[in-house]
Formats: sequence, C-alpha cells, structure tokens
Amino acid sequence: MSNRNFTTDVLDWEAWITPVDLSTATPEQLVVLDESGPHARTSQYYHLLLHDAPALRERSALFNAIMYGPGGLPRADRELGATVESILNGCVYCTSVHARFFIQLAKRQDVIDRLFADGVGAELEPRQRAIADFSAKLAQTPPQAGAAEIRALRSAGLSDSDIADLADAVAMFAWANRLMLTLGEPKRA
Amino acid sequence: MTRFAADVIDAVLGISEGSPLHQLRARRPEARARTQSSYAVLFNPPDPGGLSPPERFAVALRVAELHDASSLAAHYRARLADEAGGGALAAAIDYDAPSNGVTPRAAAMLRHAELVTTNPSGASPLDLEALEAQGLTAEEIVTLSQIIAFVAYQVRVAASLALIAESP
Repeated sequence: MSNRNFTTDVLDWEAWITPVDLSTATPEQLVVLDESGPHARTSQYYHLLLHDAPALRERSALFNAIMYGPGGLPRADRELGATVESILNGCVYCTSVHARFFIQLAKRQDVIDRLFADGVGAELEPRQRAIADFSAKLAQTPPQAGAAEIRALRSAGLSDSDIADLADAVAMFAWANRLMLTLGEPKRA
Repeated sequence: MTRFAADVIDAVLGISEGSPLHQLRARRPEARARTQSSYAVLFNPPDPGGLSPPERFAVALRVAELHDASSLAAHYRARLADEAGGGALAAAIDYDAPSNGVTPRAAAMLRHAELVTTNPSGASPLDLEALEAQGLTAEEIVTLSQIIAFVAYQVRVAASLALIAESP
C-alpha cells in the first residue's frame, strides 16, 4: 500500500452490494440508523450495515463508548491508535476520517504528515511512538503486542486503564477497517 | 464452561469478580456490556435468517484459529459442536485446509473469513460475487462480515487484557 494513497481529504464510500433503501426501511431500522451517528442518514456504509440492524445497533453503541467515552485515555490518543492501525491495514477511508479527528483534537498536523510520509514507523515523540508501536503490533494477525510494548506505554505515563482504552480503540478498528475494506471502497467526494 | 457464559471475555480469560482485570473492565461498563451484546446478536440472534448457527460458529472458529487465539477458538469449537451437524463441521475445519469436507457454501464462507481476517485490503467486488454465487443474500453477506470482523475485535480485547495482567 503506497503512502501516497493516504489523505485527510473528505472522502465518500461506495458499497459493492446493494444497501438498504431508506424509502422502504422499517421504522426500527431508521431508529438504529439515527442512533449510529450524525452522518449515518447520508452514509452508504451505514445504509449497508442496516441489513443487520440489531448487529449495527450494538456495534455503533460500542464504537461510540470506546472512541468517545469520557475520561481515561485522551481522545486524541485513541484516534492516533485508530489511525496507525488504519494505515497499516490500508484503509484509506478510515485513515482519512481518523487522521482528521486526531489533528482536530491534538492540533498536530505534523504527526499525521510524518505517518503519511514515512509510514507507521515514522519518528515521533516518545509517548506517541509508544502508542503507535503498541497499536501497530496489536493490529497484526495474529496480534504481536507483548510485554515490551506495555513497558514502553507505562514509561510514557499510561496507566493500565489508559492502556486498556487504547487497546479497545485498536480492537474496534480491527473491526471497522475490515468492514470498510471488504464491503466497498472510498471515492473522491 | 464458557459456552453460555454471562460474559464471554470474562469466561475465556477466567476473570473473576473483584480481580484486577474485573476492576479494569468495570471502569468502562458500556464497552463491556456492548461487547457482550454484540456477541449475543451475532451468535444467539432471535431470528438467524439464512445464516445458520453452525455456519456462524464455524466462521468464528476459523477467525479465532487464524489469530492463534486458542481460548476463543475452544469457545467457538464447543459452541459449534453443540449444534446439530456441528461436530462434523468442526472436524472439517482443519487449520491448513478448512475447505475439505464441507459444502461449497460453507467453503466459500470460510475462504471469505480467511481473506477478511488476513488480507482485508486485498478484497474486491469479485469476493462478494463468489458469496452471492453460493446463494448468500446481501443481508447474509453483511452478517457474515460482522461476525468475521467482530471476532477480530474480540481476539484483540482478550489478548490485550491478558497482556496487561501478565506484564509486571
């Protein structure tokens, strides 16, 4: 996957199979859609996942708890983990969204520029390097994160609950990247 | 005995009430509860539709095995074996050649599970057409994809909790 494919531009996503037509969706499906997030009404990704509305309802609630839940690991760090994994998995769409969120939260365009230019092994400050290393290792199949990555996170000041928050974000993007990459593809908006 | 556990991650990791990992998970009650309810809607759906319970557990078993996640693989193997005809399917899911001895439809689902698990950026519309050619509907393809991707999530949650507990 060439680094040149990655962008922070706003992209669309198109499904490879027919999504649910909202004009014929059930009232219950529309409730699940609105619970999923502010952009779900206009996103083909959510329209497609609405084929299994009970699964989408639980997935969206879980996603929102992990990525936006209050306290614990700062949201910017969760977005960094999600971005590193999305780059590694080659998910151009997920990367574009979560790199933008990281930049908004951390005010650090330079970190994303480095990751896009040099890959997930790019030179970063120690705390961000430790987060990127753990995220990249946990993203592997099978996961390769070990005691060394945990030690580095603790040395960077993360508590065990911070580490669990980061691990949840990376695990969530193992899920999200796979759906985005295997059910459709990004398009220029 | 994990197959009907109140919380599958607690069961496969042997997390007991009051233990450090139990307290760690209790900090995020919504994430903990929605992880379990995601499992429940994918593996104990009120209406399984066209994707049978044995097919669901067989796919999850394959994904867990591809992750070398032995405890979760044992969980899904046990749930598969509880289903009518599941024992034969479990026996056929050999690590190297999972397509041997199963129906073409099950083989197509297991092949897709391997692709989505190990090389998701290599997927194309042709891979979904291969599922449609075996009679899978759009609804079934979405549920199949959710099952594969959910197990990829579940494996990483369990692995990282175990790692936190083991790392001095």
